[in-house]
Amino acid sequence: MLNMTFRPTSVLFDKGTVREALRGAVRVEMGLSLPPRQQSAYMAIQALRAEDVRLYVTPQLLHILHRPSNLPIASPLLPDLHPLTAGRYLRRWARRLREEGVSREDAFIVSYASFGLDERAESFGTDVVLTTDVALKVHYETHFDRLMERFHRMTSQLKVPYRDAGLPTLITPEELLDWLFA
Amino acid sequence: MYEAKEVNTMMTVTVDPMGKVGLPDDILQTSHIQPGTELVVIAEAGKITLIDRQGLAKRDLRERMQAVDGEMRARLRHALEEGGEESFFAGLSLKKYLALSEEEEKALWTRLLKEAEREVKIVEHDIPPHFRSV
Repeated sequence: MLNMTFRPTSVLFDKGTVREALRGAVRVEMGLSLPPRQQSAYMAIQALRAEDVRLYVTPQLLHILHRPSNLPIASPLLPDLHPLTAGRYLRRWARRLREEGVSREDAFIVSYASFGLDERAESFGTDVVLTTDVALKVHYETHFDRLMERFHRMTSQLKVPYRDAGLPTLITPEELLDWLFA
Repeated sequence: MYEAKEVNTMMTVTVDPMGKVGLPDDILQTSHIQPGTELVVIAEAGKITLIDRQGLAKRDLRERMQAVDGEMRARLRHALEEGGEESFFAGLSLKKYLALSEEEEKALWTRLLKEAEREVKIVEHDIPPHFRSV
């Protein structure tokens, strides 16, 4: 779903991406070798930061990273993350996603990418969800036309700015790197 | 991974009366530059350098990524120097964290997320009309 003119300006990380990237950062610093998935996630985050892309996680994931007992592991990434808060209709769209076979956790992540609110940037939604969950990505892309139809049916009934909401592109860290360095 | 191999090929070419230079096949093959590739031309006294525009952008990105890597690792080192090694993640020391299997680590993050979902309820907010959808 990527093309050469696609330039994401905002990316939402799922739990797996954050977990793999932080593990990768720790292993690099300790001089240990990196499994490919950790290397890809860590490099993808480096690339996005280098490109000044706005980086987000859900409030629940941010809550984990902000806990004092987790600050050391979160330290490489935490200062670069921006908070997203739930905008109206986030729950409704997550319910629709679940009806289409998306798991509860994934449904909320994808819904934050449409209705997550960034007060400081005065914007909502993100261009991309960066995910290590290949099954989610395959399911999302396989059912994309149906999801888009339901999304359009829902948002077209809503007022501005909700009717301008969009669906994100789901990509894996490996795809992001392949695309950047092709 | 994502590193280009450096292979140098040197040849002599002559600038023709029209100011044109033909690039031999060997030079094109070694440089991975093909007919139609957009090149950046950098001229200095006695020297002209041709660089694949996309290649230049990739090299620039790699350099910026290295800078980001340095910054992220410096933050981690600082956290470890401040006592983070003993209490690194979810009550585990750095050593115990590194000893977790992938399955154990996944399970730990899943447990933490479930706790966070109980502690951070989703409260929806109105989106002001002037906010833009990205």
